[in-house]
Formats: sequence, structure tokens, C-alpha cells
Amino acid sequence: MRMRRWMSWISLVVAISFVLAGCGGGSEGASGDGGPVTITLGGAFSSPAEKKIVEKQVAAFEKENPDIKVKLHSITDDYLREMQTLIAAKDEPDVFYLDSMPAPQFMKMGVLEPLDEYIKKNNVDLSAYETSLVEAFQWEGKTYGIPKDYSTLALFYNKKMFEEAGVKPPKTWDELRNVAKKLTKGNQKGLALHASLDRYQPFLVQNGGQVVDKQGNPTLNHPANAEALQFITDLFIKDKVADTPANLGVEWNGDAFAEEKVAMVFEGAWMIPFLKEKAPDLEYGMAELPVKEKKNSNLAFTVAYVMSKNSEHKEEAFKLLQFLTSEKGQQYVVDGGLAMPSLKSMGEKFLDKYPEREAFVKAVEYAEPYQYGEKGNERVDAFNKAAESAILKKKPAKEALDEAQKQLK
Amino acid sequence: MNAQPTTVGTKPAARRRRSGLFSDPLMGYLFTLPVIVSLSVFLIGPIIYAFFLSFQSFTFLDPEGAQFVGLDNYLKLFEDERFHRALFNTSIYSLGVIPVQVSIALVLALIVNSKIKGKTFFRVAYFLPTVTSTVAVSVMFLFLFKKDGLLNHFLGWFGIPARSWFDDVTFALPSIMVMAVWSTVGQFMVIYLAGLQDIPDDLYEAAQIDGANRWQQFWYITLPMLKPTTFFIVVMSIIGTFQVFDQMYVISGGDGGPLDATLTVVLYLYNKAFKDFEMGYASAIAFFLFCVILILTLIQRKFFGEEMRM
Amino acid sequence: MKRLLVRVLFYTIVIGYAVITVGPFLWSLFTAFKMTPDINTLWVPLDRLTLANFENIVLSDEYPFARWFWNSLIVAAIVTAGNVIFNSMAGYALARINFPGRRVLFLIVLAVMMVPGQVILVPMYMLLSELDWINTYAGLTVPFLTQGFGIFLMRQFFLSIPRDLEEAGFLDGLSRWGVFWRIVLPLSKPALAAQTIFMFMGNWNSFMWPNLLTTSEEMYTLPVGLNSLYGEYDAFWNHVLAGAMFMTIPVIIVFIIFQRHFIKGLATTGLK
Repeated sequence: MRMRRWMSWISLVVAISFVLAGCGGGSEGASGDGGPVTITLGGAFSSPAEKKIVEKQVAAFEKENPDIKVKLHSITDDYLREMQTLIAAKDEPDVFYLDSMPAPQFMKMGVLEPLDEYIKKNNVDLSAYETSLVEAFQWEGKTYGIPKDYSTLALFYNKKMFEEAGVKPPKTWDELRNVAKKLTKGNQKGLALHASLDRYQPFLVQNGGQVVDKQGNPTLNHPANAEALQFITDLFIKDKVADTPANLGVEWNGDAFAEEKVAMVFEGAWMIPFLKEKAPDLEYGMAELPVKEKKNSNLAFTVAYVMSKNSEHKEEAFKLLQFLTSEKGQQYVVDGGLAMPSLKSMGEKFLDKYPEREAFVKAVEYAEPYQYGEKGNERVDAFNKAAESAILKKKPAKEALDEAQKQLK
Repeated sequence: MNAQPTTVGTKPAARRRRSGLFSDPLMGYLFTLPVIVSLSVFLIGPIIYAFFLSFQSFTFLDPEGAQFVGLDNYLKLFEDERFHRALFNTSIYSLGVIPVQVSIALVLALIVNSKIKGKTFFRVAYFLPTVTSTVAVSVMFLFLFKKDGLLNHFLGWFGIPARSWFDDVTFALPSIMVMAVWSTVGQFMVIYLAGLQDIPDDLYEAAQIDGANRWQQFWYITLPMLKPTTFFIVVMSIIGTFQVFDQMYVISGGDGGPLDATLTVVLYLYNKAFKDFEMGYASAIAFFLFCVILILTLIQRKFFGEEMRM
Repeated sequence: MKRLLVRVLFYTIVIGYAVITVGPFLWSLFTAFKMTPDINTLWVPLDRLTLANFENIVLSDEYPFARWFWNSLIVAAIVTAGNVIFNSMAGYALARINFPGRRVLFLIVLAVMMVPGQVILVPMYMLLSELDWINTYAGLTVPFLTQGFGIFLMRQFFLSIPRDLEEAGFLDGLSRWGVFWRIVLPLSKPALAAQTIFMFMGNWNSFMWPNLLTTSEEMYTLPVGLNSLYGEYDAFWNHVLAGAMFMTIPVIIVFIIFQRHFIKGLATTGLK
């Protein structure tokens, strides 16, 4: 019968495939005695350009250390989820990326190898790195990671629109409001801003507020926070000079800026390669964030290299970690021109090369890392919801924040 | 006329006892052996493991630090307002999607099974949304439904003001429901189509001789004959809608926004497990959801009657 | 006159729905040809369209594209074949053979589908890691060779097949095994075709598991590979959609091939 022939074909395919499967897979871990040691390096590469930087760094490292081989493990989906899975199976890379936000949990849970001993032994000078970045990876007196790079926020402004309106980049909150008013006309808004703590925090802190107090308790409804949030909300509701990307019909602030729907956004250095691709002809400038009175504040988004506690080759792993964060390693970060290098000395080199990015480097001196303790994610969620209801539902900022604070309990 | 649907519909049940379903344990186990092995190793094992986690305060970052907390995780479900919101959203989603999905699928299956011109084209056309991966579908809809997108242009002709559908507290969930119906109907259409092909033609011929019109044929032959298929589709639909995750994950960027309007149970579970590091609580949510789906399925079985005996 | 009106209405619905399903698809295809600065422009003149997004995928020398395609094909073929065979066998037993534990087994098949997969992600990975199956074809295929959905689907179909032919088979002296292979399966072509389409489609597009279970580029499947190619700049919808469109074509081909069997299924069996 025809049916049988069909089925036998399928069986044949299955049989062949299994033979292939046998050959294809499982050819791993050929590091016998005496041979080179293999270190796995795990990361979430946010662009082909970033991956290229790491590949170049690794190549340089391998050249210097012929007895150490580095295998890249690129994680493309939800990084946190995959990392937890790998850690649960004790399959995690020896050295891997860790973002500042989930870092407290990782440090507390004893997943990471404390680096203090290695730092001492290999004479790494932590004070050569931007302080706020290093602090993000310290927990109860121990250091667990060395920051690889960072970005702060800057004010991106559309030069043409500013010229037409005859205004200069705003330096204070009042100027921000006035400039935004002048830049709003027709379908064009002054400012695109999404309702989220990762943009609002600098304003809260400038106003004397805080998200988490010194004891690590959340203080979302701090009066100064409410005042700052109200100021931002008013830009949306009262003055109608700001809007969310969603309302502008775009994915994110970057799109709104690239499509010239707004004159200003607060974004990080990731905007630069984005704009180059998306709006190559757009003329724009970058300035430091406007300040309320005198107190500067900014956010530092940073990622560190950390070492797994389960690594079987810790000495070699640290060698790699040290190289990646050394001047030699960070030269590739400078050349790549994506994020800013974490070493102060390299930051200067970076500025020589990209003087227009001064605003980002200046801000790191007074920036706080994007990190809110072990329950960071929950706190950010709660704040964002408060901000959303203040803007979308026109709820008074204080009320919204009180509610958010209550939810955290 | 008296086109009793029961001629074929229930006869097997009666006959089954006489001849067909004789007991044959050896063959029964032989036929199911691969499935039994595979299920036990790759699903039941991990599920039992997760079940144990639901009684612990647990994170994969520190399995040794786990603590037995008894029913605490389950009790917490009753107080957790965000969880209630997620359950509410999921129920609305499910209630809205299932009936629409099933009826459209049936109608389309009837259409592409009839003698229309260009049958193959319509089959492929109706199936297209199903073959496209969820992520791509979500991207497409984000595109079509955005403020200056195609949909708003179209609605503008009728004087309906443009809005940003997926970011609107009121319209975000309904918009995703529309998308879900659009993208899953093709799958159920194909199942119905296969079910329709399984109905022997002589039933219709006999009915025609009895003088039954098209509508009567549909009502007394097609529908009863499709009962097992419909049962299957409704159960799958319940499971699918109550476990909805991908669409919300992509469209809300993982947070279930705006203002939790698109927060579903599985999305909440996912965030608890992998962002807040509360795997124990996440497991409790999973097994609560399991119970909800199980109960709905059992009710479903009652509704469809003895025919679907298990 | 009334008949004509009904016909017109009928075809309006038929064509109207086709527009609804094909429209967004064509729109995505169109977007996949747009240049990046044009993504958000509604209408782009045809001479501003470009093949670059597709070229970027297929011709990129950095990415072992042929290898990913091959991986996807092997994995999808094995998984589909396994599911078609094993699910049919189990579905048949659950529908037709009486054995102790049958009802319990069916309930379990149903029940495991009701547990959200996200909760067993990690335990599953730990298990496969114990078996040393991470980053191998075995890990990508063996755990997925059967599936509740398929078993349930086949069971429902076998329930609706008339048993007379089976009984005739027994009278002819065929064993249970013989009846299944020679009589029941050939009768079930529509269902087998439907199952083949679903399993192939599901596996071809599957991202979460292959992404978790592969650690090196040469083991990626297409969706994983494409995803690694896009990276974080997922706002470049033209690239994403080009990839999605590219991936969709093989599934459409499988669908076109197997949907014919829905019709042939009846025509060739002599059931009529």
C-alpha cells in the first residue's frame, strides 16, 4: 500500500537523522591535561557592533595568553532568565555580563565569586574606575564585578528646530518648560518622554528626593519625589508640551526624535548609532540634563564582568576579566565608540575622540547607578505605574505615589 | 423529515461494547509506550519538581537557601492585587476570544470545503496568519495599530479619531484579542477542515434523499459529526487562551502595561520567576492556573456529554 | 434574484476575510523591502524599495546561514516524524484499545498541557544538562518527539472514524498492529496531514527551547540565528520582518503540499 511506503520513508529519515545527530553533537570539552584551558564568556550583545568589540578583545587576549582559549556564549533572548537557567544547571559561563539592576540579588545569593582576593593579587586599582559604577557591584564590603562600560543620560536636541524657534538648550527646569513651549507647534512637541523611573530619577534626585533610603527601604512617596513628578506631569497635562512615545505613535523616544516629531529627548549613548542608521541626515546636539537649582543628578546604566562561583578555572577567568577591563581591553571600547569606557583614563581618551559626547562623561561624576536593591524590579514597576497613572489618568502625583508605596508593603 | 443525527453519532458507543473496544492490555501499552516514556521523563518529572517548589521560598540563584513555607505561596494568591488583575484580564481575554475564534474557524472551514473557485488560494490565504511566528505577528500589528498606522487611516474615513490602540488603557486588551483571533483562526480552521473531510459523503446523500435542505444537513449531520473536533478545539482554546503569554510579552515589552491592562497570569508568573526571583511563588501561580484550566475542561466535558468520555 | 444576492454576499465574505488575512502579510512584505529611514513612512515609492534586508540575512558572510537552515530542517523533520508516528499510535490506543490505565493516561496527557511551560523551563534544562544533551541534536529533538496536542488531536479523529472497516480487517485475519498500519492510518490522511502541518510549523518557528538549548552558533536553528543577528535594535522592523517573511516561506510550502492530502485522504481510500 502507498501508505506504507510513505511511512517507511519517514522511518528512514528518522534513522538517518539520528546518525547525523550522533556525529553532529556532543563534540565538546576537548581540554585534556596539559592542553589549553577553555574559559566561557557570556554576554548579551545588543548589536553586531558590540559583539565585534568583544570578539576583538578576546582575540587580543588569546594572543597574549596562548594557553587560554575563550569561548563566546552569546545570549540573545531574555538574559536574566537564561542566566538563572544556566546557573541552576551549573552550566553558567566562567565570566559573564551582569547589569546593575539585578546585581544585588546575584551578589546576595552567593552565585558570584568575590573578586577582592584576585584584585589584590593582580594589583588592580579600583579607584581608577568611575566610582559610582564600581559601587554598583559591591555588596557588604566585597567586590563582585568590574564595570566594563556605561552610559548616562543626556539631552538630545534637534538643531534645526532649536534654530527656528530661536532657543538654546535648556539648563534649568524653568528653561526646559519655556523652551518646550516654544518648540511645540502643530504636530510637533517639545519633548518625548516615557513614563518610567529610568528617565525620571535624575529629576527626583535633583529635587532632593530618593527612591530608596539609606537603610534600603523604598521611599517612593517622598514629598520631593511627588513634587518632581508633578513638574513632569504638568509638562504633559497642563502645558501640553511633552508626550509619550506611544501617544506620538512610535515605539520609543528615539523614534520620535529620529522622525522629528519632537525637538528633545533624554536618552543614552545608544541613541548615537541608532540615529546614524535611522536618520543619517538629522542634525542634533547633546547637552547635560537641565537642573532644578544647583544639585546635579544623572543615572548610570552600567554592566560589569563578573565571575561564576562554580568556575573551574578561576585564575584564568580573572585574567580574562582583568584584560577586558584593562586599558588595553578598553581601547577597543573607545575605538568601537558605542558606550563609554569605565576607566577614568580611558574616558579622557574617549572624549579626545568624540568631543561631542562630553555630556555623558561629565555626568558620570554625579550619576547614581540604575539600581534599587534586591527588590529593584518591583520598585521600578510600582513607580512606573504611578507615573503612568499620573500622565494617562491625570492622577495627582502625590496620590499616585502614595498608592505605589502602599503596594510595595 | 426525520434526519436523526443519532444514526451515526451514538451508534459506536453502543457497538463499542459488543465488538470494537475489546480489552488488549499488551497492545494498549505497546502503542502508548513511547508517549508514556517521553511524558514521564520530559514533562511529569519537571512538573513534579516545580510542584515541590510551590511550597518553598525558592530562587534558582540559591537552591540551597530554599525554605519550606507550606501553603504560604498559595495563600498569598488571595491577597495579591496584581495577581487578581492578571486573572481578571486573562478571563476577559479568554471569554472574548474563544467563541469568536471557534465560530470563525468553523465558518471558514465550511467555506474552503465547499465548491468555490480558487479553493486552494483561500485555504492558503486563511492559513497565512497561523504560519507567521507570534513575534512577527505582534510586530505587524504594532505597526498596523499604531497612531499613524494603517488602521487609523482607515478608521479616519469614518470620522473615528486616531488613537494608539496598544497603549490605551481601555483598548489595549481588546486590540490584542483581535490579534489573537486573527492569528489562531487558521489553525482551528485546518482542524475543522480535516474533521469535515472525515464525514462520509453517504450521510449527506442519504439526507438529500430524505429531502433535507442545506441548513438541515449542517444542523443534523455536520455539527453532530464535528462534535469530537469541536470538543478538541474548545479545550485547546481554553488552554491556549488561559496560558497566553507571547503576545503580551512582545506588545507590552514584558511589563503588562499600560497600567497592567495587558497583564496576564502567565506574564505575571514569568516576571515573578525571572525578574523578581520568586520561583516558589511563580510555581504556585502556575498550579493555581492549572486548576482553573482543569476545572473549565471538566465542565466542558460535561457540556459535550458522554460522547467525550475519557 | 435572491440566489444571486446570497452568492454576492457569500463571495464578499470570502474575499473580504482573505483581504484581512493577506493584507497584513503583504504589508509586512512591503515593509521588509523598505530602507531603514522609511520604515515608518506609510507609502514608499517602489523605486525606493531595496533587497538589502534580505541580502543582509542570506548573504551575510559572518553568519553560517546555510548551516542554520540545515539544522532547522533536520530538527523539524525528526520532530515532525516522531510526532506523527508516536502521537498517532497513542491517539489510536486511547480511542480504540481498552487497557487498564487508559483513562488515567488520557487525563495525564490533557493535564500536562495545562501546566504553563514557563514553570518547567529550568527543571527541563537541568535534566537535559545532566544528560549532556545541551547543544546537541538529541537535546533539540528527543524531548519533543511527542506532544499532548497531537495525541489529543489524533484521538479525537480516531473517535470519529467508523469502525466497520477495522472490524473487516480483523475478520481478514489482521492483527491489531496490522489494522492500525494498513487500515486506520490510510483512512486518517486528513488528520495526519493536519498533524504534519502543525508539528512542522510549530517546530520550524520554535524559538524559546532551541534558543535555550544551543550555546554555539553552529547549532543554532533559523529563528535563534536570526534573533542573534538582530540583537537589541529590534526597532528595525524591516530587518525583523524580512527574517520573518523568509522563515515563513518553507512553512507555506509544507502547508500547500499537505493540505492536498485533506482532499486526497478521502478520495483514495475507497471509503466513498
